[in-house]
Amino acid sequence: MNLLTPKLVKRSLSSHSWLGLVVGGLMYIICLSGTISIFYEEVERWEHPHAEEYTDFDPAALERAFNEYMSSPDTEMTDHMYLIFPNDVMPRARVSSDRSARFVNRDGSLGDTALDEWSELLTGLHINLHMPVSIGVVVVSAVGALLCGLIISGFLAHPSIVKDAFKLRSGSSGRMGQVDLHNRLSVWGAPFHLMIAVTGAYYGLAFLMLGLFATTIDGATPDSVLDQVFPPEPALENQAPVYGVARALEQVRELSPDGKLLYLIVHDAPTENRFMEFYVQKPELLAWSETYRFDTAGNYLNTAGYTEGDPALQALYSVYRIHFGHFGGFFTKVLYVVLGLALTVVSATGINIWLEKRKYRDALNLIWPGVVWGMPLALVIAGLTQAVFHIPSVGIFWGGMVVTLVAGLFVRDEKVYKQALQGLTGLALLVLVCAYTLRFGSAALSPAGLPMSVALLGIGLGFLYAAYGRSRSVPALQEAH
Amino acid sequence: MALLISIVLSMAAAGLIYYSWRQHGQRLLAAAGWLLALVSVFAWSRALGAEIGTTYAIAIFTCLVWGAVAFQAEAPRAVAAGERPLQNLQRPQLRGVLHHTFLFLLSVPAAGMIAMMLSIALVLYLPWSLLHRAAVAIFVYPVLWGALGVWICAQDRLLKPALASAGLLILSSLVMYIRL
Repeated sequence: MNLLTPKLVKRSLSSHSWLGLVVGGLMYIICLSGTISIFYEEVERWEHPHAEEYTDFDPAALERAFNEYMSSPDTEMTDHMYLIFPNDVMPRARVSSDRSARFVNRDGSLGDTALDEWSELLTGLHINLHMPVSIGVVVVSAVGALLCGLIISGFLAHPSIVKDAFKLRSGSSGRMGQVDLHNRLSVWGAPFHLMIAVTGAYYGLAFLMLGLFATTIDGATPDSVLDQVFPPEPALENQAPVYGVARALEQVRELSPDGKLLYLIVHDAPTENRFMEFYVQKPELLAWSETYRFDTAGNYLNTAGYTEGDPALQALYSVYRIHFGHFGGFFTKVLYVVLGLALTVVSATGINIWLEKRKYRDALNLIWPGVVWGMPLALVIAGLTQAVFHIPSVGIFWGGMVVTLVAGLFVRDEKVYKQALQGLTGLALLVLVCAYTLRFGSAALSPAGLPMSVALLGIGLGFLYAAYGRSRSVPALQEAH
Repeated sequence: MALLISIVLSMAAAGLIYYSWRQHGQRLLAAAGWLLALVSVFAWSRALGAEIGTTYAIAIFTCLVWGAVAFQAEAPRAVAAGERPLQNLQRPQLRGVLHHTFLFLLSVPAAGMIAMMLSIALVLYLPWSLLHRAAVAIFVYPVLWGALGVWICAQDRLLKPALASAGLLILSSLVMYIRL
């Protein structure tokens, strides 16, 4: 019995197209920025090649630095204050508030101001599209939920799923090639895409849902439900603003000898209810971390139980690492980049197919390359102004996007425009690396600077090849958007 | 060693499924391939732990299959360049704008709200702890939202999905707020 009747397939296809058109552009931006954000730690490190790097540290030196930072009149105290420990990926320590940060030298003195500008621009684009956070995360999460719908309707609209399982016509060029590329990447990638969609929807809407849950329970408030779902915070009084980091660290290492130390957060820092939480990642678990709580003198209070408690709690606490591929080291990141790029291509080819299917071309055909190929260009230009010249560049990024969208209307030829944008992106990447090297001098050749610069150069050359090299050898590829 | 076995199993699974497809759908081979893919989940879990292992088993298998798709791909060739005429953007008709606006409101924000309430209503009276019920609702509701949105968009007329949405909203409200 064929469950996919022609009527169901037709309706599913129409539903898939409508939903895809509604969210396709946003989904492309979210997927591409998310794919790049997988390497946000490497970008962050690249932005500061001068910072002193080390992985082994003296706890007393870090305690000294943290207390100096916390008591400094220059430090703007926020609710949460941080001490980030050095590790293999980010071999530098730093202290920070929610608004500013300083590196910590190995000897415990405070180093340069840390400005994670480009990496924050990238992650901010992915997490909240640079909108106010409370609105942006809901919009991005809604796109995640609609991706679930697109996956469902995609399967229902695809009656020849087995027959076409490995088919890729015309090497992905032309409309049929685009259809095949869209279907092959989305069908085989569906488990990963579904996982990304569900975990992506979690961020903006989980707390909204818990709030709604509270309304169904007599006498409950959103906070009381949160306390039942997530371990409640300790209630302390008269806590001195001097932090026994070294003493607490000694106990953390006893509690979790094989754990990877991530960071320390001081909660309620401006009040006398302040307390310390140490976040430690456990091997072989996806849960973000176990959390050990201490008073400010370094006396152990309790363990939150994220890694040893209820499996449901562990599942909720694993969402971040599953979504961003932050487990298993560099290889996992590369794997996630491949899978994330595939979802980005699926988003782009979905719109391409719809545009190619029409009997005519209009302004939508002309501006779409400005989204697909304009976004990398706008990101690179924002990277240049932000990372090299420290100019706030969120506006430059979005301004760049508007320019690339509008410019397409004047070029009036999608193929020429796509090629020009690819070429400009390649060129901009080369300029970025040159400017970075000039700006940071010999530090640009350090382990913090060189690998990322080489990667950016490689990507830049790839863009130039896509624009000019490949088009000479394979003219047909210009047909694809 | 466990890691090597896992990689070999994933490769064999992808290879068998691809070979069965090349042989025009030999079901036995395909079934063996899928069985190996399942076994590879256990092998990866043994090598890297259940959570990370399962994620790797899925991700590596997906990449290997995409490799087979790339291997199978036709060479790029000239596509007949039937240039389509460029025309001005058509001015949307008011009726169309209203239809699409209503469809958007129904399939995105309204479906999201209904899915959220429905997922809570579905788990509210289950004999589990609040944590378990909340976790299930949190992970189920994006799928419910997507499915509901798809169903709404698939309808020819909007009256049926509007009535169904209102019905689901009332039903889930009753389950959530009326104590029996």
